[in-house]
Amino acid sequence: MKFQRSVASLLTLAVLASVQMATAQQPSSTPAPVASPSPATTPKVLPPKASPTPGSTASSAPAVDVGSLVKFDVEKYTLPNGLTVLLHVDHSTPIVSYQTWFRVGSKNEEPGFTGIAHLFEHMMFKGAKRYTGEQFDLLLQANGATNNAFTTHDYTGYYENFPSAKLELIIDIESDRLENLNITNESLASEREVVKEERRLRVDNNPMGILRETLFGTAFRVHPYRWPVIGYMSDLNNITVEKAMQFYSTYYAPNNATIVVAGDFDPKEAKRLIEKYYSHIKSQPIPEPKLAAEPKQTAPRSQFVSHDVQTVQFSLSYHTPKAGTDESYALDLLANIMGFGTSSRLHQRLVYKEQSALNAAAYNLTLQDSGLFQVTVALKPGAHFGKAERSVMG
Amino acid sequence: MRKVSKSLASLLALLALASCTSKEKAPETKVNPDGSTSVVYNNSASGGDGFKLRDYEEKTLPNGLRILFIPDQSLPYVSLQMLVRGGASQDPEAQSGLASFVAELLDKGTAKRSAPQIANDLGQLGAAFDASASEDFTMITASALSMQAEPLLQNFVEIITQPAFSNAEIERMRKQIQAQIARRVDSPGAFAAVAFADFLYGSHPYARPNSGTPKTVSGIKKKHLIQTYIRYFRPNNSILAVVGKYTPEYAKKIEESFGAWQKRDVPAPTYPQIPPIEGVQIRLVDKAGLVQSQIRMGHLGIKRQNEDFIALRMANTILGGAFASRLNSRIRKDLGLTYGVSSQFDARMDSGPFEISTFTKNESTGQLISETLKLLKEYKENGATSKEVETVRGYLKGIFPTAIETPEKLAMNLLLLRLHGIPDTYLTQYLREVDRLSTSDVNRVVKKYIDDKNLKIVVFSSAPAVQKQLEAIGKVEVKKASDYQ
Repeated sequence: MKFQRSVASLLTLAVLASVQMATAQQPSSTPAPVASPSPATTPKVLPPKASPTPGSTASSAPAVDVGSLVKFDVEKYTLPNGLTVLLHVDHSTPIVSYQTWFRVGSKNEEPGFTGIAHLFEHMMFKGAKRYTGEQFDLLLQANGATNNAFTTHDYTGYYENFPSAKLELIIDIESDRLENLNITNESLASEREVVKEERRLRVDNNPMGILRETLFGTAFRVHPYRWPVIGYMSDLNNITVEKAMQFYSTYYAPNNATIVVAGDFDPKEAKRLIEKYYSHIKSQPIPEPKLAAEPKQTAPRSQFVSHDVQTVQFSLSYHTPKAGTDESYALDLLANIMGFGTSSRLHQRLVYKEQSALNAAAYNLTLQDSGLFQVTVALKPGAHFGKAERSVMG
Repeated sequence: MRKVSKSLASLLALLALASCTSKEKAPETKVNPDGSTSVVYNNSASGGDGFKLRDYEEKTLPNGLRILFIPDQSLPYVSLQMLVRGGASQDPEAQSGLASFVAELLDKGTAKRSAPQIANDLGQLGAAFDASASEDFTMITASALSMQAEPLLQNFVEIITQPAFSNAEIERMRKQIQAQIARRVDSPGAFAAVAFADFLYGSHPYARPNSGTPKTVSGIKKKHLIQTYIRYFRPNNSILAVVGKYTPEYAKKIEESFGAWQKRDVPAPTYPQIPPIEGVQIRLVDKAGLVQSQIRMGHLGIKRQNEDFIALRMANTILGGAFASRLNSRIRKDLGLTYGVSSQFDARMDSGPFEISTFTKNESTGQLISETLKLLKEYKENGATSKEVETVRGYLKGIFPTAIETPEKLAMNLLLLRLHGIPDTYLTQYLREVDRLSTSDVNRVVKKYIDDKNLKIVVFSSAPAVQKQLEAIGKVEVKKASDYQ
């Protein structure tokens, strides 16, 4: 594979170590303060050797085309206003999942306002015109619906799972908040505090979250992927009602959304209802995100974070091709071979044979604009970081 | 994400529903020529509200192994789930962590193959495998595509009936478990849960973490592991669920494969008495550098075998079991004090915990606890409104299908019902039962099972930042996080 030739120059390393361990084991760079991801460039990592010799191949399974045995019909269409709809009917259980995904995430944000995509996602539950804040959660609950939402670097999604008979109610609620969201100073102020607690939970009070944030901040220098989806604590204070409403009116439009309906419903009826509730909402131009091209990485980068933890954890990563490219699929497979489950090479070497690690895993993250192939290792207490790192690279 | 995602624990709580009076005729038991018995559950007529439970069959082999067959033609896969009674609560105190250690070692070598060979063979099949011990049982699961069903079964049977417990693998696993235990303190939520169980249960086995402590794990010897395995891993102590797309011949092969497993008398689980809690007791567990307090508060709850199970589920959902609950509305939505607050009755073989689980920045720790106690008191005194009961009725009925939407989820429900000795009519009657229960039923259990005056609170935080706030609420006992290592 092409990326392998230049693998060393693409490497990024983030290490989280206890204060004591960091001073004892850290090879070169000085400990950086937490959450200040200004990467120190220390070309300390050896170039990789040839891949290890494969183990004996076990008796191969009979070749069966599994895909031919799995039936998965999806109907896709688009409304004149640009809303994309995907329908998948499955009558096995009397429930429906209704999902609305928007092509907007933290990569559409600007410095100083990081975290707005996610904080805004929270505000989508504060009520609109036909369904106001007070009744929103109770109404869904009384109708047997569970709901939630998620924000990533590239997209934001909302869903409800509910009894089949409630389809029209849910479509009414979703189209209402796509068109008529109501944000007040009070609701934003209180939700901002909720999101700060979420950030403390996931990052500031969570060593693995700190490691992840450091890795992204080191691997990406100019691209918006460098900041965390949840945003920086100080930026959350900069987000005003005006800013949130501007974000809403810019990105929450039918031509920037995809609806997925899956489960126990009549597709003719679903199409009629989607037409009824969404067709009057107008399409609008959606600005392209300002994606500064990440300059080619020419030397390994590493970043050490000192923290009060029991074991050293480290992540190393390579820039890889973006989602959807042929190579990204090959890399998914490679991640599985290298670092998924007890039969993987990383587990067999670091956890089983050398017994230096508690776990060792590989994962190829495929984002819309880039990939990041990650190896994450949690060492056992007292295990030597440099040795484990060489073991991963060798 | 807007809401804290629910853990496996709450999934099981959802699945493990309560007993209710059966208004149905029990299905008939047929004795087969080979000495096994069969019960066919044809559920087409027993649903209610247009809901139908899928059909399944239960066989009991002459050696006592119960096998649930749950066919599903929708996808080319087979899943095997084995529940073995016992679990971490039956570990002797000095060898706490034993059941979990045994579970971890099952696939680390058998009479025929080494640990890496098994890992590689399962990998080649594209199979998933897991074995873990919880408080009351050990669960072993494996799944693969239907064309790999036979080798999957061979692996599954060999792993469960012929584990080797070699010295080398025991020592390797001991270090692994000890490292996991050492690392627990780096996950504040998980660590707070361990500290709360310890505080709540004292000398009862539910006090101890399932994986044990560094001391007990270092003292576990090979003979303890083998004794525990021999005592509990018996066909008459186990229930197997077979799910997915498989042939009648495959079902027969499963029966044959496990038919040779030897039965033996298994001791019934025992549990000591737990003394009642007096007053509000606070334990602060200190770790420098934490910026957010992990808070657990509660008291003893119920056994799964409890006639008020569904009524209490309704009462708890109103209090803190869903997003529009009282706790979440007040603590998160109105006050912005947390990202997540929930309450749960974790019903087990013996009385499980009633536990409110939340977190907030150090500065607002006292405020959050005071607000929660106020809310509990109000709920205990005045109960739920009939509007709240109607809302929760709609909610529980609406989400019920999601508890059994896949045959694997149904299998997990059926296994747990059998563990607790609750008939399957619990599932077929559930919707009717939720409809039947009145506001006064719900408020009777609020009064009976919820106590705002006698409870225990654990706060895992940076002590200098929160101690004064807690002392304004009650007497505070301070421990170090390192006391738990």
